[in-house]
Amino acid sequence: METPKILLVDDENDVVDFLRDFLELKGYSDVETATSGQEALNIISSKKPRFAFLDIQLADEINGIEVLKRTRDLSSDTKVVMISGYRKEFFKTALALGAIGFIAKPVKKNELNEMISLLSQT
Amino acid sequence: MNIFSLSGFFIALTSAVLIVILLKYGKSKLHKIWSFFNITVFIWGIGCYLAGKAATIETAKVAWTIACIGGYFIAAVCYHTICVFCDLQRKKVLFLFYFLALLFSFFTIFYSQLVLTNWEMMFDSIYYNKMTPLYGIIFLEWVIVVSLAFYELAMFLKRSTDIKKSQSYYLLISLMVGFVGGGMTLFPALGIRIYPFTNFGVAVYAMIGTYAILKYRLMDLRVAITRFGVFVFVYTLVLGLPFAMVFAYKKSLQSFWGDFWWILPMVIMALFATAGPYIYLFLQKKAEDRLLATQKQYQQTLIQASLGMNRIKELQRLLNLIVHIVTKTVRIEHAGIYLLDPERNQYILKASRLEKDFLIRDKIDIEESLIKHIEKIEAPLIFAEIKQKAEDTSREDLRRISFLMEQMRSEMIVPNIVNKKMVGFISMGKKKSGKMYTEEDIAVFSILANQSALAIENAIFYEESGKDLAQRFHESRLRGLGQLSSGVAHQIHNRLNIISLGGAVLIDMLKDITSQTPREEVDQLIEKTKKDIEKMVNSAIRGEEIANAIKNYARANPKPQVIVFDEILQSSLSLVMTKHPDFKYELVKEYSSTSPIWANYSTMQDVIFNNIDNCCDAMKLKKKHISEGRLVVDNYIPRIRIATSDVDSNFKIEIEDNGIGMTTDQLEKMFVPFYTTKGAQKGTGMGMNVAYQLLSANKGTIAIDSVYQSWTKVTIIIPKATPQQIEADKNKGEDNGNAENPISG
Repeated sequence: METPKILLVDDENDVVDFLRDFLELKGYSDVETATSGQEALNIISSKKPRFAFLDIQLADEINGIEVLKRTRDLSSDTKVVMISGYRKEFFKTALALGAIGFIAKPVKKNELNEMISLLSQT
Repeated sequence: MNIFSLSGFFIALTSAVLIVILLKYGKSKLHKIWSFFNITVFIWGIGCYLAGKAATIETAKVAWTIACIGGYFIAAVCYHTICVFCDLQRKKVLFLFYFLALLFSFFTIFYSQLVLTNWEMMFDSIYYNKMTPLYGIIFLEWVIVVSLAFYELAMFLKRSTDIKKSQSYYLLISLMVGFVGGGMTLFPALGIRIYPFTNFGVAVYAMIGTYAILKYRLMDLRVAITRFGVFVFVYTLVLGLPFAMVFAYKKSLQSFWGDFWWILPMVIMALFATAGPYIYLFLQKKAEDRLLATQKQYQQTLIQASLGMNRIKELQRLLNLIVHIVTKTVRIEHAGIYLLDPERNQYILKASRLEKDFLIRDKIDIEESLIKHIEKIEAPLIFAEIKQKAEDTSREDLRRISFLMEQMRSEMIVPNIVNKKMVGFISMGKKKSGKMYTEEDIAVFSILANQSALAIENAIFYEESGKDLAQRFHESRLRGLGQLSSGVAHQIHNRLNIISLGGAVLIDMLKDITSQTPREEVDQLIEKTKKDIEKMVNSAIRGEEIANAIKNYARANPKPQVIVFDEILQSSLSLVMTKHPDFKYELVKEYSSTSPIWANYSTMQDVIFNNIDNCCDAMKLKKKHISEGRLVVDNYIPRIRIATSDVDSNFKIEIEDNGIGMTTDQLEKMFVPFYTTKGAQKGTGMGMNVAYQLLSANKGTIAIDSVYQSWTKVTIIIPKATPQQIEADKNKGEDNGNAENPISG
């Protein structure tokens, strides 16, 4: 079965590693990772992932919200899910900008299940 | 010349001396009236001198007319003098007395037959007139005026205290001697045949008066009189001796030198005149040394005290020193210094020295009449004088002042005034000797008070700026914490996120393992689990490091301690990481020395953190300028170089970045408080100034050098810990179970 291409973006390498491990375990083998905003935009633009999980604070000046904004132009089919510890502060903004979901940090079992359910929705 | 004439001569001479001194040095109203009084005495003296010499009735009449006019006015002016001395308001009475003196003078001059008539030679040498009805009236009036003057003075003597009492006592004695002596001179005219020897009493009056002036500052003219006395003595000698020689030995000189007899007296006079000024100066110095011995001793104390005062920047120590100087210089029972507290609108006792268990009023409201009064007179306030005035005038404010001073056990209050502003005052108790405060004391304390006012102002300034530094340090740390907090929260969040995410993934991963799972797969999972757990543990350690760095940052330990620089650097880097979490730079450590340093941990952490924070800002800005094309640099890699080395007993730290650098103008203003290159949002402008002041407090220095768009280098020099300090710190650490070591906390 062909699995959707997924992009994981977080400024912590460990976080993206864990998430990739988890997704791979769940059968999602086509996973890309990035730690900076620029890196994320490059991947979105070139590889057009089906899903992008974006952290808000990233390793450079381009934050997750900025990446979300530009994603619509770069790859309109990419569905964006925000992952953040900032919770409600960015929730509305993210939804208004077209994000399909919001996962709160720290990521626990429930949040992981939510990720999978979001992925399986489409 | 008969004896009466001689008495007149002496009277004229002594009163003339007093007149000259008073006119030359006198300033007050009392001085003026006192010199006027002496003029009338002088006229009396001249009259007596001429009367004693008068060979005819005609000349005697002229002489006695002069004496009588002098006499009439002596009484009136004497009463006037006493009114001034005792601060009495007797305008109408004075007017009457002066009018009568004028009227009697008029009659004496123009209707002398009514006053001076029926001449008779008495004691074979002096022409006296016989009493007429008008003469009787005049004499009676004269006795009344003089008696009234004595009565007023006696009453004043009774109610006055301390120095004023002594002064009035001597004034009364001297005037009594003078008036009784002078008055008895007229007895022969009244038919009482007593030779007017008593007229010498008038000259004695001047002597007693002078003594009182010298001893009890009756007129504050001690020094003036001494100088004048020395002058008269020297020049009488210088000019008098040659003249005496001429008078006594003219004939012998003529017989010996012939027509050139005058040469010898001239030569002697020339010699004396040349030597005169030197003798005068020598005697004057000797006399003044004696007179001003106390004053000079005070001056010495003052010079030393003011030197000492200016060195003290700690307010409380300064106040204690002032009180110490005051009590020790003049040996007083107690002294206190009150300082203005502008917030409470009160003068508050800040330092005091009590010899006995005195009740002291330790707060004085600025609205108190005492404060108003001192502010108005801007001069020392003497309790005895205030009390006296309060009793004399029944003024409510003076009574209140007197009451307050009594409560403060204050004999004298000296204000500390700077630029017309009273910053405080010194309150002084009784002298241990029981003596009163002299003019020298008052003068010395006025100077001391003004000197100390300056020192106090300085100390307050230092204290405030010192307080300000502590406050600024605290505030800048709080601000720093504020700025760090979001970064810290994010970092801690990330650590927790890794741990919780890792845990969740692991649980999910391991939940499907059963006894049927192939061995190979299990081994793979175990290997992966190990790695994941390692990541989670590392994340926890990293979180702990951040928490520790923050904890140490927040906990300001004021004491210096032995510090290893690298530990400070690491904890500072942890903080920097929370503030610039994603900023990547190269860190180059060039440690030539790892000597422990002796400084305040928080201070050093603050300084190093601030500087590396600045480095990051500078490098970020340079990166931005490059990305915006404002600056062209190939392959820019942000880099911080940290170098350490020993310089004698000091430890040198260099923190260099290849960031945006600073312009010369920025460099010059670097240590100015509130100056920032970062704009209002980011910088507080406190960093470098606070760093500078904090390092100064740690006996360190900080210097900064930079080339715009290229680099910035901060050089910090701080004392190395001595072996003794290291040993002591080790022992302390062992005693406290290393509780003082912030790294282990």
